[in-house]
Amino acid sequence: MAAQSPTPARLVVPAVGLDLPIAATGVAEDGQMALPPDPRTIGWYRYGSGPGDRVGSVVLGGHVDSREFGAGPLVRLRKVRRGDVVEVRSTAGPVVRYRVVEVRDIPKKKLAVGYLFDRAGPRRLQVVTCGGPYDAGNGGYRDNLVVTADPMP
Amino acid sequence: MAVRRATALTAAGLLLVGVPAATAQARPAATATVSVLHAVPGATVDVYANGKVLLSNFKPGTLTDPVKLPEGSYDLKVTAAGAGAKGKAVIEADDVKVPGGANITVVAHLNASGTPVLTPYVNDVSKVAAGKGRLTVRHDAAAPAVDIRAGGTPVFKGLANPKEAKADLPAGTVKADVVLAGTKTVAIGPADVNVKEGTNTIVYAWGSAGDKNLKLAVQTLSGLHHNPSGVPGGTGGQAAQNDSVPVWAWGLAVLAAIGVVGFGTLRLARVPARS
Repeated sequence: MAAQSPTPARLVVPAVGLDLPIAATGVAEDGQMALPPDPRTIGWYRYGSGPGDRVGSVVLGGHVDSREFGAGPLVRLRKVRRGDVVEVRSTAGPVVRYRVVEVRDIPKKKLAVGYLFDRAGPRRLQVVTCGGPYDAGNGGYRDNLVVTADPMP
Repeated sequence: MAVRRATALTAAGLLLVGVPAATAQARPAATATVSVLHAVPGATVDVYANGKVLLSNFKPGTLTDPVKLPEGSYDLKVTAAGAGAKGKAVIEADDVKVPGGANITVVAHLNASGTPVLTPYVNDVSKVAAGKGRLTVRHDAAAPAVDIRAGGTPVFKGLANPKEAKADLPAGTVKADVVLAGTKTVAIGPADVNVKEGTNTIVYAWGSAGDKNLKLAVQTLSGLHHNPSGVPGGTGGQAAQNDSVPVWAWGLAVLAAIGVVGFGTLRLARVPARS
């Protein structure tokens, strides 16, 4: 399913001036989604759905900042509002456009991974970074900022 | 070819051992998911279950799509294609238990000495850790025990007909081959085996070493994935939200600004981190 789908290559949110490359990622040693170390690139969970698939969530996740690289462009994700258009450009095939339906801060411990990474439900885009207060001694950021968008007709 | 009634006992036994009894008891009207693989070289056959035709004109190397069968006991009979329900059995297995909720592949294959038999296998459809796939290997060939190697290293050793071996591996392509157990004599392959994430990839070695027609058949059972446990955050802290800074912290900031508190800047940087 995901294997036949073109690989997403670029994430663009014109309303907030967000435009960054997408790299395919998998699972980190600790069982969490692996993210590109550089916050200027966002990761795509390659075992889940792709933008060309007829079902499931396309999950993009990236670091909002890093000790090494500083704050990244995903800082702007917080400015995204319901109704904004999100574009996912792929290596092949048409640009897929989504409209934001929800922007939420979710405590990491309460992140519903079954919903977020759903492969069988309706087509969706989930863009995830981190948010909330930062606690270096307690795992860093407390929350995940999750932008959920539905495909535009 | 001779009728193999002895297989029936083996078949029922395997099924009972492989499935927790609770599964069948908890859901009395459950169905089982059953696939059939024809791995006897040369013979196109018909398959009957309880006297009714289940498969017709079934060709070697063919794997059926899974079908749902009500749980229960089945008398299975394989005949030459077109021989009819009362035709002579090539293989026969009576009272094969099909437990509800199980995922089963029934394989018609040669035993180690080349006689056609039926072996039902219970497929492991339990969840696989995120990012991993399951590889199952089944020896259904008229051949001695073998080792299965990945990238030249034996991963499953001494596998004999009709045994299986399995492992959960990082998803990706494995260059696999089959060698005679304990040797470097390649019997099959090498072949690229795609261990798909969240999928049980079942590889069957079938055919006959003596007739030099050893082959591989592959069955995949998907949807066994686990999700990642979460999405990690940044490591810098530069983008932390200031709205969570408590009021007294702002007070400190003001005091720091007018030089009342020494190390004020340092303190301020740490304050939001604790909230």
